[in-house]
Amino acid sequence: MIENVTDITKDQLLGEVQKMKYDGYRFVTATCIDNGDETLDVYYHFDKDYELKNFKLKLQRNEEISSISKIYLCSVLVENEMSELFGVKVSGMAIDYGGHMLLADDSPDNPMARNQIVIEQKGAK
Amino acid sequence: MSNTVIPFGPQHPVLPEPLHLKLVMQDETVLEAIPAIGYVHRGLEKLTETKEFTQNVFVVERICGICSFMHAQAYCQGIEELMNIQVPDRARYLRVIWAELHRIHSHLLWLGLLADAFGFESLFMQVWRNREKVMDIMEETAGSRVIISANTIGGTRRDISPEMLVKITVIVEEIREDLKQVESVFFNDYTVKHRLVGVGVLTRDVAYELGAVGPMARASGIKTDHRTTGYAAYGELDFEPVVENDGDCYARTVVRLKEVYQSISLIKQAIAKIPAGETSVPVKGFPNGEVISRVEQPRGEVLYYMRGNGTKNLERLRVRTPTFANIPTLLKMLPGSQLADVPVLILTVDPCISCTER
Amino acid sequence: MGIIDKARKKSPWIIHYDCTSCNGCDIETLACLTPLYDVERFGIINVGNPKHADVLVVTGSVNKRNVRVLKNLYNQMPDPKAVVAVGACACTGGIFSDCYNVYGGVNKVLPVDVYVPGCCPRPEAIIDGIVQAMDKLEGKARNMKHAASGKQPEAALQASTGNNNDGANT
Repeated sequence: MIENVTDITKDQLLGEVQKMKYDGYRFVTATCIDNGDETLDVYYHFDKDYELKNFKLKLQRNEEISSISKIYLCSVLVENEMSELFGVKVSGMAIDYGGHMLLADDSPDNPMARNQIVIEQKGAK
Repeated sequence: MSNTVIPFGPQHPVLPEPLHLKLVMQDETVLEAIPAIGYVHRGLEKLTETKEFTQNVFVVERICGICSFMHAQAYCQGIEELMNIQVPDRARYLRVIWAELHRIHSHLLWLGLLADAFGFESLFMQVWRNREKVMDIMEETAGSRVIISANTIGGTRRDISPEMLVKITVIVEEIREDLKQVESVFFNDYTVKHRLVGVGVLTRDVAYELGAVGPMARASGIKTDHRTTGYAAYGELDFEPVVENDGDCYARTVVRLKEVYQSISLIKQAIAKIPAGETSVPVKGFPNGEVISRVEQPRGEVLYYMRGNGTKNLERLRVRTPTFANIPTLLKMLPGSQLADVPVLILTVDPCISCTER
Repeated sequence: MGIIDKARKKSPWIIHYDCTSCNGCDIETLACLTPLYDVERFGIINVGNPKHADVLVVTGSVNKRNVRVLKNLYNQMPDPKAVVAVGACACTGGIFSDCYNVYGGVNKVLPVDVYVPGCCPRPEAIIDGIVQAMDKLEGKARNMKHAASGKQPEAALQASTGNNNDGANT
């Protein structure tokens, strides 16, 4: 079990993140999980004195969320990663790599999303 | 005057790894730096979904060869928490010993590369010669020099014999003596200080805001070290995080060098206290639920998020590595610096690109 | 033996490129340069410029972005040149061969002369691989000379492969 999880909606996101910044929390990272049923979970992890505080956001596939990089600049890398690997649309990122931060031109699109099979099972039985 | 854009990397003599930077220059001064990564991206998080959760130990070890033991440790501790496995005491101490050996080898490696970056070749060679002693211990205890694969879910796969523990105590003492000799060069030499003091200053507030972790944060006066939370056997050992306040390249060097001494002390304490007994417990069942596991690596805190669904495969494994958190500091440190200082500045982050991109 | 031939035989210069290695093989390659293993006793020097290099040492598997960089480096190297694949990933793709962003071993892209297996290979194995690449370089140089003078290079080929049978690393 993960402690300190708060469910939020995407309208609350910026307000909650701003509050964390005001309270002196460090942005650790965000985690995106594809549930396989056209929904995605996005966790935002914050840390203060070794205590994690997590926000859980439930999204439909292709839903757009706003970037928190205006508040925490260091979130640009993880937001770019989310949009590349999972196809989450993130608007207003401080640095937008345009889908080429990790992936090359001929890499598969959104390889972590579950709507496509990208890994060939070698020797699958 | 018009600006020049200089591509830095991906193949660059000072970087063992491919990192690409676009440097916007005016004369000799950097105006803007945009890191471009992706040369080492493999898609490892996807790979872990197709492997069994016991096999994943070997996959996460290969996220990064330098801190491979701590990657496996973070993964195993997470799964153990998820499955309610009590690790034997001896295994907890063995994990501390191997983890601190890895920290010594990583920090010595970094000190050597830093010396190479500011052009002090003989210092580089000297530090790496000292480092070989740690590699010999790894080989003697685990059979391999770099990726030692000693962790498994439920404990460790190997034991260290009492004679070997005595030998390790002797060798780490030798390493301390060797390090004393190079320490004065790093701390007092005029040319070394000239390249490091006052270069790339990162104040406490900026470092905290950018989410810096590990030695980067500690050199800027942030007292953070995840080992103080007492995972493995760290709760029973006596140590204090090394903190410096200047936030420049010199402070980061001091932090890492002093951490080698700290690791030596931790290894000796652990060897003195290690209990006898089993090194692993059998694992039954499959992981179910979500867990976050955090471990202090040589470069800083690593975060593992795992979600199991009661089958042999994990539904999701997510790794936030320390360099991933430290790369944004480059965006603040590089603008305003001289072109000749760029290699040193990049190295003081201790970048591990294969960690960052997975 | 002219000065160029002698230099190539007695002092091959290597360039090291890290494709998607986990750093394990990189630090072992670097460890070869440092005092305990010290490849400079064979005249081997690590250079940063591909136009100076005779041997390309590649660690890690080839992925979809660095394939261009790797080909660039190879094409910039002057002939004769040899490629050494260091580590399981460079040989076959290793544990990462199933990943979506990985093509596989270096031989998918470049002609590899020497394979050094292991995860990670020991520095001795890497040195042995580079020394074997030196023999291949000599053979290639001889072939080039014969091609220029129009003779058949069979004798040269035999000479270059003759002493490669002993090691486990070819």
